[in-house]
Amino acid sequence: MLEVDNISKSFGTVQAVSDLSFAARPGSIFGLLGPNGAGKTTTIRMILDILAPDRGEVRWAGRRVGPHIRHTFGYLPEERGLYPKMKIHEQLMFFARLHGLSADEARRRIATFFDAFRLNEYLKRTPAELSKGNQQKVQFIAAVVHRPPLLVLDEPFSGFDPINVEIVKDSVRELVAEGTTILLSSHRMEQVEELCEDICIIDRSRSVVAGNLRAIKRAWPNRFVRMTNLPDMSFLQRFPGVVATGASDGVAHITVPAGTDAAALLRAAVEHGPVDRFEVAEPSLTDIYLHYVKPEGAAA
Amino acid sequence: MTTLALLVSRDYLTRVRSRGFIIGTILGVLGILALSFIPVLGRLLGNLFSTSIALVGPDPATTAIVQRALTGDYRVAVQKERSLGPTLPADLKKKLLAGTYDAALVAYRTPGGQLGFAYYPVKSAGVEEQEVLRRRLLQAAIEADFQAREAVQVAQALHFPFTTTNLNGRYRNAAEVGFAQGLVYFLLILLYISVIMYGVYVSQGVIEEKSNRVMEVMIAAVRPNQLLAGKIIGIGALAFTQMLIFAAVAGAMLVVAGRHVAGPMLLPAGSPAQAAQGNVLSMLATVPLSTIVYLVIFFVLGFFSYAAMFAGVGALASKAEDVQQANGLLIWPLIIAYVVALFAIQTPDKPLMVVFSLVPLFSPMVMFTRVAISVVPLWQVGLSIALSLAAIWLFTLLAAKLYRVGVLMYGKPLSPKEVLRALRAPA
Repeated sequence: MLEVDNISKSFGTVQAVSDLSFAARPGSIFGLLGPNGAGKTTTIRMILDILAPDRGEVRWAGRRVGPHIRHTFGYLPEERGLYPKMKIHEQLMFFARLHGLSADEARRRIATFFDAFRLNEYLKRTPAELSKGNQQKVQFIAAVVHRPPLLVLDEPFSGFDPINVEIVKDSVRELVAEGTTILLSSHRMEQVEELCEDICIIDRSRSVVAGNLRAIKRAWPNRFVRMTNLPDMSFLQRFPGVVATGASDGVAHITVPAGTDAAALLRAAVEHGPVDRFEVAEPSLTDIYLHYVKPEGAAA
Repeated sequence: MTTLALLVSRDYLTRVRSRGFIIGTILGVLGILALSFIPVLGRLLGNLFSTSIALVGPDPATTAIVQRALTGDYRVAVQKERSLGPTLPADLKKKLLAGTYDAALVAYRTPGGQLGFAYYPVKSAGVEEQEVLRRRLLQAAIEADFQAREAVQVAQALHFPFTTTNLNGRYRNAAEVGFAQGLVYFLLILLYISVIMYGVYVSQGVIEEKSNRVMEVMIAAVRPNQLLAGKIIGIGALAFTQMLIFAAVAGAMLVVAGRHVAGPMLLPAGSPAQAAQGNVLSMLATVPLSTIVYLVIFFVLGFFSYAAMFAGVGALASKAEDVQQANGLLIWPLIIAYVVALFAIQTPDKPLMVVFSLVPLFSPMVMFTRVAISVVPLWQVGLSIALSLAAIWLFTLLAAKLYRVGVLMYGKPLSPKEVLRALRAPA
């Protein structure tokens, strides 16, 4: 269990993170979202004990994160980097051993990963000789080779083609199944939505929403109706709080309060014309994100 | 294996196998081989200064002849005293040790009436230097004795008595002095090159990890302090490896030179210099173990005091270009130390040299030269080492602070304000 307890950090006059709290459960993926400059990287650095919070603390398994535990964590930073002139195999051995594996264990694990990632032919090459995608795979292996109990992935899928995205996703799911706690930071909403059970969105150094993604969606005050756009949509006015937000391609976009009787809405619609499409959806993560994160320059 | 050992071995192993290191070492070895065949270093050094000589003669006429023979190569100061034998007058010795003159030359008449000379250099006299002096004195001896004696005796005059007594009493004969100076000169070059080269390696190593973003992964796993220590020790070990290789080659060359090169060199038969070259092996045996031990000590001190600064500079920059100017600044104290040390070979015990040999950043080179050439009071050596260690501790502390802030900054170099704030932060 990773607990982030009310941490704050400022650099000079810039407040990077303010009173941030959340918890990530073992064997699950926690999504950390927010615009660039919101404080995600600073938060990650405090979780990994690279930076010390000004206030508050980060706990792993009930203990404050410190030198005794930090080196067992895995970290795939957004800014990727390998030693360009060091052979792949040596490099992974180095990282694995740096994270506390024995030489034998490290060799064994690297071999397993190389099979899974189809990298065997590149063992003796240097990163400079590899394609970007293969470099990314090596970087990913470097972050997970020691089977960290906590794995921090910052934009893990950037730079991968769709096939490799699936390979990495499979590997991530495997790690979760083994009980790894994963903190995933990404701008790719659909991937976060697909993988994460819990999320926290931060904006301008503060947490704006945090918790179980399903629960957040369920508790959302509105639902979203997509239905055939009829010539006469005036019936909507009979339902309090229902707003048509626009239409495109013959589909009307309608926002309705969560308590609205959708069946009654559908019946009313059918009276006004042929309806061959009608669906009620919970908000997407994008909807939630856009609701909470104010555009740059808007008042906080 | 501990984290630090892992870091050190990575920094060491990746570099020791790199093409740059191998080529650099080979070039260095070739350079040493080339240098071994150009035995002009001693002569170059001897000509750096003209020595001031206090001259004591048996009578005004002879003194004038000797003075004439020496003028040009030496600054001669004729003394009022008259010599009665080869001994050095006590009050002149005091003046010498006070630094008034570099040396004293006592010209005297032997009981047989022959002109003889006793040379008393304050600093130890080099082989070449004594050879030059001997030739000048030969002239004087012939001129002085020609007026009074038969031609038969001129031949005898060619074998005029000439002794050298080093006042600091460290060396048994002039050959040893020359050998020690040559060796120190060579070791200074080695010290200078390796500190500069490996210091720059350190700052480049830091920059490299920052510019290719490995740093971010590294600091998640290890402390900046460990990273700093790993870098400095790893590259220090690399430097040490190269020095060992160079030293082995140089040692082998000295031995080879002693056997085969000495003969054809243009030195008068029977001269101390010739004797020296004829038997380099036995000369090597006269190099005290302490010189080698001091070389190691001062190399380590020199490397670490500069390496910590180079690492701090590396942490502040984010691109290789940023670091070059700052490196240029750091090299200055080293250049000064090197030049001062060259002077110290000739005048190891002048007060200015004593000061330089105590000041950190200069002391590794200057104190090494002094202990290798002269007899240095132990308290000075101890103080010098202690001050150096204190400076290393301070520099490493400051570098670690810069490192902690600097390693996470990419893209832009730290502003002076940020640097100050980092340095003031608690350790």
